[in-house]
Amino acid sequence: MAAETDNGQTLLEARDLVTYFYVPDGIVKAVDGVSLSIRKGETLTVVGESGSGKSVTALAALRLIPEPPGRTLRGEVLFEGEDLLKKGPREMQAIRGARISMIFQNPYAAMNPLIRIGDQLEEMVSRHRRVRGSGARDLIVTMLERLGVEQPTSVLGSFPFEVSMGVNQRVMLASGLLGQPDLLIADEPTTMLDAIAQVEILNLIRELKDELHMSVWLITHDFGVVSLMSDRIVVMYAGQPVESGTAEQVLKAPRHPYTQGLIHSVPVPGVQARRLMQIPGDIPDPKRLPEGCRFAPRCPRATDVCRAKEPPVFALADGGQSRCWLHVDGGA
Amino acid sequence: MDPLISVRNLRKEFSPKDGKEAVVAVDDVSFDIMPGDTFGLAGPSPSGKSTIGRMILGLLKASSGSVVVEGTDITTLDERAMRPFRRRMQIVFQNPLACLNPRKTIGASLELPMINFALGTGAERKARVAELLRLVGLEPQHAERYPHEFSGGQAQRIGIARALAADAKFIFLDEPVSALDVSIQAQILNLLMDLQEKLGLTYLFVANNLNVVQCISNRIAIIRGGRILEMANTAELFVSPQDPYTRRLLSAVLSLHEREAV
Repeated sequence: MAAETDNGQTLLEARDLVTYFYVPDGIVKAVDGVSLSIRKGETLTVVGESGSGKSVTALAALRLIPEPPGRTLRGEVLFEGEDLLKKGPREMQAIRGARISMIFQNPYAAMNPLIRIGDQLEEMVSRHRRVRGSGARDLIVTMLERLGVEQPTSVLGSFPFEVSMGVNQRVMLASGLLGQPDLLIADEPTTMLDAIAQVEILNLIRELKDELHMSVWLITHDFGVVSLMSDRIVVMYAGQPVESGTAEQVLKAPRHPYTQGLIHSVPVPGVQARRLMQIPGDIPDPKRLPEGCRFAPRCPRATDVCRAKEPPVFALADGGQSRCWLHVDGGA
Repeated sequence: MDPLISVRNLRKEFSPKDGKEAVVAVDDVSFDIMPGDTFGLAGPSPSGKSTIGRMILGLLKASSGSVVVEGTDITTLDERAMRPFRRRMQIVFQNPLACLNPRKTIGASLELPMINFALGTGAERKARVAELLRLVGLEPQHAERYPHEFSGGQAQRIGIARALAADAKFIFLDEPVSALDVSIQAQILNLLMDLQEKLGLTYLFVANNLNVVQCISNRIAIIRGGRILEMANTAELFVSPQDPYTRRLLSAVLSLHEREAV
């Protein structure tokens, strides 16, 4: 699968994106120099813990950051070569939902509780596909059936609170797909579901990515999900990418000490360890980031250089990247 | 060895006020928890996991069945007779901030269980607070701070210290790491395992995430719809699951090695 996309064209590329939030007690550097690219037909997973900036990066790319308190200060988000940060509000509305759509962790929050599911999905179809009435209904029912929703017509007549979390999640996925986007951004799409429903939804996203010739920008904190879904991976920490590469590179031979620590702190199914590997310390306060490397206070391999000077992103021989002084002479 | 806790035919019905049919949250559940063990309850939400834990602690009254703790059926006890058990049996919540008064310092909150059970003098209690904070990996001076000054992981350490304040021997861990980040989750799981070894604690560990449950539990019950579907020692459960739903659940546990499996 990776080979198919290796020489693929770039669909979206963020370059040095910087988005801050100006709050009463300081500046939250939520996204602080993020560059990433998504190729046609691939799944790029952005993995990180809370406060890493993984969601804000996607919201900033779609221009969905409330201003104030947020502001995107710098950077470019090139979508098929055009900078989304230079688009007007109307142009962005035409892109969102039709070219790029986004689904979220909590489908109840993403749906309007006062409007029947069918009417909400019809609005998507009429706005982005210019089909109304029974034609629109047919498209919707077909999509819901494809997503494994039982009795789709009865679901369409229901309000979001009348159906289960799993069904709502499929409805939200349908609303993300009905506009036939080139890129689906999925922000923790299965975090609220139980394990079995999670795998069902993730497999649907994998299949539909190929059927609909989409790319997927997946945001998650869960390395099991990362492993199942990714062609390429970006690991974020405290507002910045710290490592990127193919799924194989990042999961099998992580280069950045943070990625190494994270991967080893995940319990392995069927293996009872008396102790898990752990990363000491806490995620830094985004208003008071440490000097030098942001991970240095928690890093087992930190040296004086790390504490004094912020590392640049090092390009590695195999095409991956790592923001760590260990690679300064092409080493480690 | 006798079990520390024996649960027999436990049942809980909730009757809605509007006269609708009663909801059976827990249905004929029986298991033993051996001293020093961690018994894991895993299953989708809602499956009755937390309800079982709350009945064991006497926080919820069972509709029928028994909870025998060191030979005494606590479901029949009145509040006065229950008090010594309350001291020995504690809970750690998913959201630690929910068990800490936002207007009291951490020291004051940690002292409360000791005051409640009339343990020690003022100075002894202060010393015990400092000891508890060190035990869970915090500093004695943290006693002067307020709950909002702590990160999620630190707050959960305080929640664990609170459970230990009056010398609990049994702790019901109700989704203790599911609100935490991956790197912090490992810290808390390690802390729980260390404390168990050091203090000889017995745990009931409840979580959605089977992967987390299995890494800390000796024995696991898979529960769904209020009933135990399968119960086995952890290693056996993963090697030869018997129940069809358990098999589906196990196959849905995602690991770091999904790519090879696909």
